[in-house]
Amino acid sequence: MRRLLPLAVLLLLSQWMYAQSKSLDISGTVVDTLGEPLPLSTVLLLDVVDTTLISYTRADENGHFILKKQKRTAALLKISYVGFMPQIINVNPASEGDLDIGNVKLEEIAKDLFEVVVKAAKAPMSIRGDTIEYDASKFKVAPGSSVEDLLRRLPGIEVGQDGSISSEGQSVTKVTVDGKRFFGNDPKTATKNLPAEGIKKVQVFDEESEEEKLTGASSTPPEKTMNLELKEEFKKGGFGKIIAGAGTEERAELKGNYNKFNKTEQFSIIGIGNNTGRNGLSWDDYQDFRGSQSFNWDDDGDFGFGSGDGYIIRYGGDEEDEDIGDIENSFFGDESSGFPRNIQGGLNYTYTQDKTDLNAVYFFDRNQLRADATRNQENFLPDATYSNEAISSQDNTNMGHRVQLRLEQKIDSLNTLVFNANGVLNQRDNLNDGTYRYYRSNNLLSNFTLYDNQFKQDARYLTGSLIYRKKFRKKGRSLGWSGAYFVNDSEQNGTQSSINEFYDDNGLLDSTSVIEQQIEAIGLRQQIKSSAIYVEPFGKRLYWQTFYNYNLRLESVDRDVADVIQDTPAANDFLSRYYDNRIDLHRLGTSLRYSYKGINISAGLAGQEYQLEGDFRSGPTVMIDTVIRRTFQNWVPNVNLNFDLKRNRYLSGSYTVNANAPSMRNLQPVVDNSNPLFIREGNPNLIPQINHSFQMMFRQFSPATFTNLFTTIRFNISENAFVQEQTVDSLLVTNSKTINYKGGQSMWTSINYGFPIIKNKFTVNLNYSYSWNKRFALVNAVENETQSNSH
Amino acid sequence: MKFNCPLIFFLSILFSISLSGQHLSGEITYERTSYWVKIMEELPYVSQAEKDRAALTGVPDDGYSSNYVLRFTADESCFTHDETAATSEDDGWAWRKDDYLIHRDLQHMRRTDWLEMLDRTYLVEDDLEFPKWKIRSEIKDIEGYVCMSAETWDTIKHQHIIAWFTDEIPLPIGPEMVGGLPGAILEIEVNGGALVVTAKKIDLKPMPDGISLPKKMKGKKVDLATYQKLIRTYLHDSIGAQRNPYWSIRY
Repeated sequence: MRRLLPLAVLLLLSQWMYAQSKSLDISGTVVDTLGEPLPLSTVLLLDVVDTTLISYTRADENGHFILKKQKRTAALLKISYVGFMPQIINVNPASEGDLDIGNVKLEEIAKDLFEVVVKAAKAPMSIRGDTIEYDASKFKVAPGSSVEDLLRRLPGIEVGQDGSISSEGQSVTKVTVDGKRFFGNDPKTATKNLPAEGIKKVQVFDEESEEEKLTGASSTPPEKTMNLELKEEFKKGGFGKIIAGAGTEERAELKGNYNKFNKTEQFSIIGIGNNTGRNGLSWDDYQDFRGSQSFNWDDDGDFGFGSGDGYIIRYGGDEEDEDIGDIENSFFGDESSGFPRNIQGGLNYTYTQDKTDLNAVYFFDRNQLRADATRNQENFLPDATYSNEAISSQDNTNMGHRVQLRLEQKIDSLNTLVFNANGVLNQRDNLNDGTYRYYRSNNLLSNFTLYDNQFKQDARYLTGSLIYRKKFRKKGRSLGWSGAYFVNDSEQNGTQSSINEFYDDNGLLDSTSVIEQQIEAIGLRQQIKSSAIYVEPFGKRLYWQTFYNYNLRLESVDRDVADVIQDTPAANDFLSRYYDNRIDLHRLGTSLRYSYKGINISAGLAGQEYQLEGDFRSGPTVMIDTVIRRTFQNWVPNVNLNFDLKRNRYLSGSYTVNANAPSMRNLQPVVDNSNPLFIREGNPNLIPQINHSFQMMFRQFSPATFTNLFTTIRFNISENAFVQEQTVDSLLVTNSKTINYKGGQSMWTSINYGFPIIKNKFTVNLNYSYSWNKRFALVNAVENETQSNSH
Repeated sequence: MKFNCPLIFFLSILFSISLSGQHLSGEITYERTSYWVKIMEELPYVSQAEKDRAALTGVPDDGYSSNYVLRFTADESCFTHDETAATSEDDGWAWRKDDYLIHRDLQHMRRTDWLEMLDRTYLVEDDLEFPKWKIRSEIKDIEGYVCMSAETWDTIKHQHIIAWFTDEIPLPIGPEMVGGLPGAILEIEVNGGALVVTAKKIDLKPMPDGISLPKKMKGKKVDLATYQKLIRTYLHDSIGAQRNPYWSIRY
């Protein structure tokens, strides 16, 4: 250390001396054109090569500045004062002594230009020497405008009635595009013909005349040249791809798509044909096809508790109850077995302008599936076992046209309207034939059925909905309203024919029944729903929300079933049904939410009432209507906990309840014997099934070590569950009826842990899941408890 | 020669402060908006098809915004979340705000960055050095202040930063971690607009009590070099894993 110390002192000293001899002070005074000082002007010392900032200072009250101890090299001095043209001075210090550059005169920027461009339009204006540059994108012009319209908006530039241009009083005689001459010398050709949207920058500068270039002086008045710099288009063309594939057994696939888009419009087309059974359309295809419309959340307008709400009205499995679904479903369909033939295709068009977002889609799909199958099944009764074998052959065709329209209009920053319309035409054509064979425990044939069913359906669906959202000036307060109408009408016709043979204990033919039925049905279903929500903040952390839902469903079905006996149809009063149903649902709920710094807790309660009203006759010859009127009320609590913890950890939990109303079909005291071996019967005494569901989730992700942990546990309990009560008679004919019975329980848990062994190369993911459930069924008045465990 | 540079900077700052006198203190509220589509576009592993898809799906002007505040006096500045804003977004959901406070001690030329990244909170303490700025010729108005423009390049995060600063507030302060210009930076634009931080409100007022920092600023203490190494390693690993790194560190 002792030796080092003098060395260090010496070093410092030499450094100081070096700096002394080499450095200099640069001083000067900033004044305006009249010689008045400009106090507090900013003085920047810049590198002469790349304008890197070396040092800076401010002038004093008298406009005087001094930059001390600067390097003795060539540099640039940039001096600026608000409202004045900045000046750049080359500094070339002599080999010795300080440098005083004397008075620096700054010229005032034309006042109107400065006020308008920089102050009012808030547009960046750049001044380089004598060039003034405008950023065209900052000046709004109507779509389709020409450059001329754009120029009219630029401050300091005037466009005459004849299209002549002048800048700061001097006429612009030449217009170039990207520095090149545009169709001759007439400046108007470019400005009248080019679209304003294509322009990135407008530059105006003095052009030296030929005379000036030669002599350095000019006898003619100065002329201005304007250069238009073109935008690199967001995207000029389109792109697309075609994939074709072929395989053995005449399996082939062809898929193609094409997209074209710019900032305001998107157009895409997609088509796929195959007989491989693969859906062939992926998430990426969906995104390519739908573009900016891929994710339109909150379009259903069913306001409620928020996530995990349970306001999905389930009416239970009516066979005709079909959902037209979303377009997404066409992209994420399941793979099918058998011999399918699929053709799908569509067009998507989106138009987006500041406040308007319009989307139109047309989609077509046709699926045909031919499949042959053989199934074997063993059934266990308390005192016996029996088995069956089913051989089936099907040829199903489904064809649909879909049109979808969505308009989102922002009225202003606080009000938004969303309109949705959706129309579907659907045709189904099903052919099914096959045989059933039932065997007793000693493998003797008990029943034999040969069937041939045909079914055709034509259906039309139409939905329209309107959602209005309003925010208020008070942050956190909001209002939402939605209304929707859905209508579906359908015609079905089909024939069901079967030959059923019943055998006795010794395997000898006991009896034969022949069923030949014609079915014709027309149905009209309508749904009207409306929801409203209001959120009021209490302070900054507490929110109180109240919502109301109304849902009305009207169903009207005429189903004629006729038995054909020796080619003469006769009405079947058992199976024919004529009904009108009306289901009303009212739900009023409220919840309180606490939201602060990653903690979101909400608890709420809703009361709901279902009114079911049904009016039906079971055949054309039956003159008495049966009327069902039921009203159910229940309470639906909802609790939600979410914690966004430090270090990428999230914990959430919820308790939700939902109620399933019994389906009208299950409430009607009607016997359905369309399958003579499996007869169903309605139960007018059903009440809703209530499901309680508890869920906890914990998630952690560590970005530094690339490890993740994900655990979930879910527990469900149902009350008054819908359970099938079945009785099997000695001829093995099953009678089935839905009743309310004690509910089942289920539990599911899963833990997933992933960690890298070698970063980016080898990651291990461990997953363990366990599920348990308990369900009840009643077979021949014996309670059947099914428990299952799986790991 | 090298050590002369900050000294001169510092002297000239003091000089200018003594000149202009009144109210070189106050609060600037910034709006910080990031655009995921643009951030994603510059990741080296992203294919053209994926970029097109993101541009197609993402609504063009769909940025994520949040408010920050820069409190400053002639001696120090502090940039952090704007706590006066409502804690919850429009949908009523409140996200946890990460630990983030950037303190600049202009008197002793020290930096303190309290920030959360990669699973934990760090406290970066080191000498304050400013980047090299290139002065550009544009001027524009931000909230009534005429701003000049300068640009620099962040070699750690590979970011090109354009700053708009005003010499009407002659302090080398700014939003995020930028600073070192002859005036307060009122706007920065990173990598062609992937991130834009703009002043929305400029309130010059006396701050007689200076700037109060939260008492609890716990974090793992590291120096600047260690912090930069952490970022560099993480960026390298994430891009190697073809994962967007900016989910876990600030862009």
